[in-house]
Amino acid sequence: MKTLILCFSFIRKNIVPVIIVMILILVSLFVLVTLIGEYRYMSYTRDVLLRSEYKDGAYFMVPLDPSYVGYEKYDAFRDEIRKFDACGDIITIKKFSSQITVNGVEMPLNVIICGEKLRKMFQLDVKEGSWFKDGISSVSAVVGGVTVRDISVGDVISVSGIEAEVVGKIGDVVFYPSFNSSGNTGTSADELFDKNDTMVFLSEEGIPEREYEEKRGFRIDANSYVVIKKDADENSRKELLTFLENNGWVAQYGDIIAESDRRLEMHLRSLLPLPVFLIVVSTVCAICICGVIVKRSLPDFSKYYMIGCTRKRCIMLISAPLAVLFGLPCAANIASVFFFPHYLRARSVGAINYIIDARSAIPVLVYFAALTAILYAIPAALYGKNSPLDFYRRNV
Amino acid sequence: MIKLEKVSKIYKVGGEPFYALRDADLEIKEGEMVAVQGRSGAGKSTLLHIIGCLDTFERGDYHFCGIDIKNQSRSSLAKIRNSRIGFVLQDFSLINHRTALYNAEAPMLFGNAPFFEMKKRARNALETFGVLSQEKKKAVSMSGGQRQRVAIARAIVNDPDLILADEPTGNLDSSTAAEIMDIFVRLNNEGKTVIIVTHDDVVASYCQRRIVISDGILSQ
Repeated sequence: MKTLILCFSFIRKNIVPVIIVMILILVSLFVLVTLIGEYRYMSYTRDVLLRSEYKDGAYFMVPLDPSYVGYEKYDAFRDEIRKFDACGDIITIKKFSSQITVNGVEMPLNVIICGEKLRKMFQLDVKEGSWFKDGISSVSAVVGGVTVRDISVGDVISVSGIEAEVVGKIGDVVFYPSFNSSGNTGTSADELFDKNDTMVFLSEEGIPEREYEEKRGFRIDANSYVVIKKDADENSRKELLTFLENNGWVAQYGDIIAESDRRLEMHLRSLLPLPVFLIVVSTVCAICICGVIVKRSLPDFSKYYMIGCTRKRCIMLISAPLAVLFGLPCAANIASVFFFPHYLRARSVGAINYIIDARSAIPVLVYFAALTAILYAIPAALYGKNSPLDFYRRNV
Repeated sequence: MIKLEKVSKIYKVGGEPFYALRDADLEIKEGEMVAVQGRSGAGKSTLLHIIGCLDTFERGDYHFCGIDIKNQSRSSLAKIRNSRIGFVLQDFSLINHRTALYNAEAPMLFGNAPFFEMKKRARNALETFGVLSQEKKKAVSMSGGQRQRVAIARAIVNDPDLILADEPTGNLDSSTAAEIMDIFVRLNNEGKTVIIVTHDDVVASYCQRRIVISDGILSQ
């Protein structure tokens, strides 16, 4: 209590600017955390592609053509592509909507049927378990999102009548491969993904595909990824790619990675200046306020020293309350990071293209540590130069 | 109570040593009231700062109530200043933007006084010196005499053994100065050891003993 009174004694005259700086820190850290979250999402999708086992291939985007509506047209066109010698395979994404019963409540969810090639093309990060396994004999599932939060690795779930063993678990927001609808020609890695707050990935093995497709109504993304055979010669490659280019848009694997790098760089260049500017402004303001408080309190410091305060304690009496007050917006940001899954669960926020998790708190903690060090260094330096004895010699 | 043996305080001035205090020998017994006199720059305040554990010294030994001051840590010296010494200075050295009550209770913020007794003890001290009615007034808005009374209340609130006063009447008119000196005499009569630095013979006349300092050298 005594220490609180003393701390308040030092900062009471400057409480308004202190509150303004607290708001500045709150806003600047919030902008920084969201920017980093967005950057992490973009770099995550790029990293997933970098892990792909099919680096020699091309993302093929079909044109926006009404005659392509319907599975038959797409299937027929894919059959045509398969006829080329260089074509190793065509990776498509099959989805359907379903429901899952969690704690007795039926919840809607989206399902992706993952064939072996799709699984090897997009090896998503899992928080628990693994991203499928080799040699699957019965249906396996990887789940993610707030709705299926209580499902554990090893549980058996039932999705539209299909029993599947959960082998892996993704975080609260699931970024899943999505080959866009026709007409979208974005070719950076993040364009090949979408997000959802509930998702189940089922292994294709064990599912009677054709019957199931008819019964449940798969949706197959219009675009696809054409894998080029390893032993394909230059001419057959060229032939395949020319065919694809003549019938839509093509982005080869290397082009996707290059485009992703370019977009990441552009993203940083365009968005980083704002949080950096805000953080520099708030830090400079914090330093100025600390300096002003120390300067203003020098006479008081000499009096407190006379009646039994040490230099070290005086420094702490200034730096500690400032660190606590400026730590509050940092704590608020850290709390928002940790409560993010709860907001998702409560549907207060929807899934967004940001990765916000415990790691998002690291830059906030680093900033707080640096700010605390500065807040200690300023009174230490100023009190070092103007000791209470110097004050007495000059004034008494 | 106070025993200085060959104490020297040396400053470096232009690379040359300057003796603010040279081989000072001094003994003051408990319950004494002593005046330290000398011209400006003679070393009076330096002596007071050393006795009050505010400043260090380069040579000699200083024992305060049997404690070897030279070998004490900064925090021990702070504790001694807090609990065993009370300071009264010419400029009052109050925290001007805070109330008389806050100033009187300030030493207890650094000491062992129970938190819930602080206000009561501070009010008692203010009452003793006739300024309780001013408790809510900020120090800056009080008269010189009232401020010095608050400063004395602050000096005695932790019940110290020693009161050090540096020109305590320097900023006061003669009648107020006389009132303040009466307070010091009263405190001395109650058993406090009082050391007053002054250049004023009238003030010194209240004391039982005079010590003169000239160019850092003490003579009694």
